[in-house]
Amino acid sequence: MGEAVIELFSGINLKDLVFMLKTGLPITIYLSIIAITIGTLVGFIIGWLRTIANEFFDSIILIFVDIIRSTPLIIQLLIAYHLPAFLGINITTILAGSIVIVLYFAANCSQVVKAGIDSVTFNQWRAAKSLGFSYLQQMRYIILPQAWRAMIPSYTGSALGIIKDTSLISVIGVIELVRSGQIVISRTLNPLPIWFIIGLIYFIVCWPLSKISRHLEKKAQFGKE
Amino acid sequence: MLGFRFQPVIKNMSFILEGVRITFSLSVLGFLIGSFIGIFIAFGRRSHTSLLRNSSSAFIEVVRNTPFLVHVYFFYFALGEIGVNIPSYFALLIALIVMNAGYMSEIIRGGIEVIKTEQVKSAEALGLSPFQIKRYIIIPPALRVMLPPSLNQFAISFLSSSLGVVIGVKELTWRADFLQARNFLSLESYLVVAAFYIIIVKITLSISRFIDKKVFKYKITDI
Amino acid sequence: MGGKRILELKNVNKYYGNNHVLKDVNLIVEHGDVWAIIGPSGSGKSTMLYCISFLEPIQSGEIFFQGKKFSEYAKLEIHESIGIIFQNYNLFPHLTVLDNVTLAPYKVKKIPMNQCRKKAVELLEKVGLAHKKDAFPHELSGGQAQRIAIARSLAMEPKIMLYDEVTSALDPELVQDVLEVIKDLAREGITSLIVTHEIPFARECTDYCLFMNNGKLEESGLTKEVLNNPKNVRTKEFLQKVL
Repeated sequence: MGEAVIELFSGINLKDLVFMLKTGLPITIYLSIIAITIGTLVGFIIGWLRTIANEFFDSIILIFVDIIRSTPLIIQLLIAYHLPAFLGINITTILAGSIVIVLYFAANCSQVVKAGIDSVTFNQWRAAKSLGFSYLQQMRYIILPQAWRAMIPSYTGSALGIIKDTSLISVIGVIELVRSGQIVISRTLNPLPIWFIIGLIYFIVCWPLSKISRHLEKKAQFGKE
Repeated sequence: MLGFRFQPVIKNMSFILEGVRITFSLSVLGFLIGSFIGIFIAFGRRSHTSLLRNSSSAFIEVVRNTPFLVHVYFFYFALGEIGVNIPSYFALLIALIVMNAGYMSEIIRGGIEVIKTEQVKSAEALGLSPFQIKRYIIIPPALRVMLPPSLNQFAISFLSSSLGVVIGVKELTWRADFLQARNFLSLESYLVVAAFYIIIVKITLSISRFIDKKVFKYKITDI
Repeated sequence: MGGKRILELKNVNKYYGNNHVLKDVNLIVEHGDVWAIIGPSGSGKSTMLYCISFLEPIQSGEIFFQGKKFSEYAKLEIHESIGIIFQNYNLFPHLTVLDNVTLAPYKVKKIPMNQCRKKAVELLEKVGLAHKKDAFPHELSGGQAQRIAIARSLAMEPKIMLYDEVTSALDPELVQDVLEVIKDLAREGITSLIVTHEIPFARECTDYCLFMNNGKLEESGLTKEVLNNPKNVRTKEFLQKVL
């Protein structure tokens, strides 16, 4: 059995591993960080706007958010690949793909943010208002501290998801972790161990993050009734 | 309109609808079989035997911390290694089953944990039979807790099936890709196919809302 | 009677959508008055308090505070001068008791924190809960939470205190502690409007009483007279049912 495993990994040398880690992994991490930072900001603004907008604007925003969340990410990336040529704009594939990924994560965040803010009971708004707090003060000291506790589970789940979803950009040719692995496979012609290694690298990156998020979830529950 | 030409895409509607059918059957099969396996994993997670508990946890952690795309490619080449000839359809199916098992097991575990032993004991003390206890005390609250996330998971599974295109499964996204390679109307092809996904996901989520409102309306929420 | 008019409602009407919830309400409150507000559920008692505390708008009529119309004040001035306690206390669950009481004076009135803390501890001592200052709301009983809500409002040094059925959600043995606090505050001279179902409390601790029914202020006057010799037939019916 041991020999079978060793045979499985034949043809792969350290150089391939280093190639994947030096060329592919940084792009994956880079895309993830871009998506999470910009996406959270945009998503927060959209989610917050939905809580103060009137019904008409809320419906309009909701239509866009729904479409982004109900379409497979891979199709959105494929569209992003062809759209610039159609519009006559000259941008790199990675930029087009990044924009799609950021918007996708932002759409998810907006849902999380709106649900979080909505979860704070109206009574809290009323109590804060009766003490003279302005809207901004209400949000900052009373509402958001309670809202973010509700947001944490969904938010960390989405963030973890987007790190994994960056793998889809390989389909439109961007060289990140998955694509770099495929380049190695094109040389060694031995796909299975490479896919195992790709999975392993993702696991090493994601698993600590999911442990941290579970820890945050627990902390968020303690101290609140 | 705006230089879009949908007609050549619409002409191939039956070709596209065949893709809808395949996507749908893959998603439903993957979801149902995955959920079934998920039940065992959910109980495994709560087991007193540390081997069962740890292997269930390990399974869940691996599934949740690796990308679905990697699962798809992995099973494709794994099946190929064992000697299956054209493993595309089954690779995608197995990947869907594994993903659904991983995520549904947590949802099912949430449903199990809703049931409080005091309620079961009170029901017993009132003389209810084991069957009656399951039917009236255990299943309704569990179902109520599990239904929305389950339908949400089905929607996710449905959208994830689109990854079949990378290994040649002739599902909906593959059809869009195939059409646009031939008629060079990439945007139109993808947009039409996207519309199908959007419609079906919206229907799924509407069913979830409908069931939550109508079926569980009269059920008494927790005291 | 205290003298100067601190609060006046003139022909106040309020609608929730098509629902006419306050119908031509007229009321004069003088400085230091303690009013009991009684009436059946849904009669508009709470709504009236929300309008007085500027949490809800009115559609017609005027409210005067200290002789000036509401519209002549900044919203903030009204919130600072009129405190309101709710039936379900609405303490901020993510803050300790002390933080709950100091937050508003610190952030809204911009009083330095050490002064806020000092005042907060005094107020907590007044309501008998200084020893709970580092506790979180979920660790308190209903009666304790309600008293802290009162301390929180008092920290803003309001001129009028409004109480919206503050003991209705409490277990009977906790009600007395809260009523004691309200009684002491009233005795100290703070103008109070108390929506309550506790008729013995109203009889003992309030000077004036008004009866609301179906959005209309049916009767008002000295507490002894309204409760013992009600002139309005509906007041009589209500009191018969309740006593």
